[in-house]
Amino acid sequence: MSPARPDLGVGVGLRMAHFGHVTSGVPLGVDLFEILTENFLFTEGRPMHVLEQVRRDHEVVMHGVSMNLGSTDPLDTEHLQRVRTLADRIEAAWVGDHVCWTGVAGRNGHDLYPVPYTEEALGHMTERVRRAQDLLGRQLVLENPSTYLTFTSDGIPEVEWIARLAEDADCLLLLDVNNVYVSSRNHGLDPVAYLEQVPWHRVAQHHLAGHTDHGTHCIDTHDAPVCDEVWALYRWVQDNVGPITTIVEWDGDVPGFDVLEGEVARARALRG
Amino acid sequence: MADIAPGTAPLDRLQRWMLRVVTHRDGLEAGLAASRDEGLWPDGADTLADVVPGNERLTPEEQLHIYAYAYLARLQEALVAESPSVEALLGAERFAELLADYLRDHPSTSTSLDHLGRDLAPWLDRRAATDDAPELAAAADMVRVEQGMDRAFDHAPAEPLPADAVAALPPDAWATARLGFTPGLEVLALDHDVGEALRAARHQETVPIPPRRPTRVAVYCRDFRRYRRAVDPTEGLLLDALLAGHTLGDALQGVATRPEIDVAELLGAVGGWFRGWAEAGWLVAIDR
Repeated sequence: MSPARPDLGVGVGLRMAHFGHVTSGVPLGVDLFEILTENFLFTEGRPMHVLEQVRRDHEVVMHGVSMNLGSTDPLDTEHLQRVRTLADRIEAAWVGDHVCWTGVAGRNGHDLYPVPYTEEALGHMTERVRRAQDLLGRQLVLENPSTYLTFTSDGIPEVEWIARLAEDADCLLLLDVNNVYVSSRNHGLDPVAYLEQVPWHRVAQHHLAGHTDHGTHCIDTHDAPVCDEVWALYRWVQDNVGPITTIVEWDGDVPGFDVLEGEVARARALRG
Repeated sequence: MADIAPGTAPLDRLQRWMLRVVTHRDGLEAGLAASRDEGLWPDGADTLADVVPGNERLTPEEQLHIYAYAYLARLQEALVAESPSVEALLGAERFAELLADYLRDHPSTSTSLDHLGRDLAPWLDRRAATDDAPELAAAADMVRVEQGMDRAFDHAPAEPLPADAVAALPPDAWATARLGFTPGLEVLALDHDVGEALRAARHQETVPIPPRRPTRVAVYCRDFRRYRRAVDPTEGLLLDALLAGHTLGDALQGVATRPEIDVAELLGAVGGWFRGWAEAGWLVAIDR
């Protein structure tokens, strides 16, 4: 199956803890970097300096947490314009965010809250994604979330809801393999059945990350190595779909860059 | 709900309800009660299970608690990261409680967590007065310095002038010359001398309560590193005028004509100040 975007290889999230290393001139065992968009919207200081240095030798993809695309608040057009300006400036390979809402009534909870998987919410978010893409001048790459609750009103399975969103809004998807595992554990679903229903022709990117397993539920903490179960799902994707641009995320208790390079090497090995 | 799209009233109500529930200052139970008192519950929902069914492993309350815990933890963590010295001064537990109160009074309205603490210093000042807790006013000044250093960090660097740049100006140019300063340089006016407290916090020593004493502190960034530096009060007045865009001549005259200023001392000191500013990388341009 043709990927939705060119396969850029395997990379990592660009984090401040590694700024010194990634600009030191040593060879880096990664193909590309992903930035958390919001960390670069209000700075011209060291973060931007490092980003521009990194961009000289690597592709960069942008991944945000604040478009609030599932919310009933008005679209934040100023935020979208800032995102567009940054994407143009660094010539980002693509720009993404999440299938979620982050705030309402003018307040931001700074979390990825679940949308109810209803026809009403689907129509609402579809329209907003279309408008956001118009304002950004490019297709969005939207990530399936980790969720910790469902709503009684949910009437459509998540993977089907997201697939319809992608088709109706003509957007692309970031299939976070760890999120598939976390949400499946939390809601008693079969992650492979989920993967079998993903509209792969819409998927531009993967995420891999670690999580915290509390027994009764998992939390998407990004503070640990990718677990064996998630590696197995990633392998399923390689065997059944093929290689797609992949980013390893690590945001808490960030280890040395060599540890991330080890995770990247493992992903590369599975891609064959 | 006048600004929502047609047909999304139930979605809007659900989101307002959930945000109220998971961001309440006093936790989930209080959020559930408040949202009911405020008429935010989704239409037709009598019990929590009518909105969030839960599952065999977690109750609806336990599922919502995951979001409630994450809200406070994430935002408190962001604010502590901005003001680590205040946590060292007040203790983690007390600062966390104060931050929970602050977030109740100033919930985030920005896409960026960088803006979350912009009201914290004046809020601590007010809290110092209402609680009769002078250490909170001192903490407010520590916040001002640490946030000022962070603001400086986000500015693009500029190439500094040589140390003798101002001294090299011909005398007839002083009247009209304007100095350009490194982006992000601010000269704060504080009610407390926070220098020792900030130093002690940085070295993980016991942090003393900063004494009440008017001080001026410059915050700036050089070579992508954050700095702060105590500034002489008269030097601070001159910097205020120059940073406001006044010419060297007007700025010096404005300071010299203040009744508390000894003009001879001022004229004896300015050369050293200019050299010090240049050596710190503050001076980046002279417009003549």
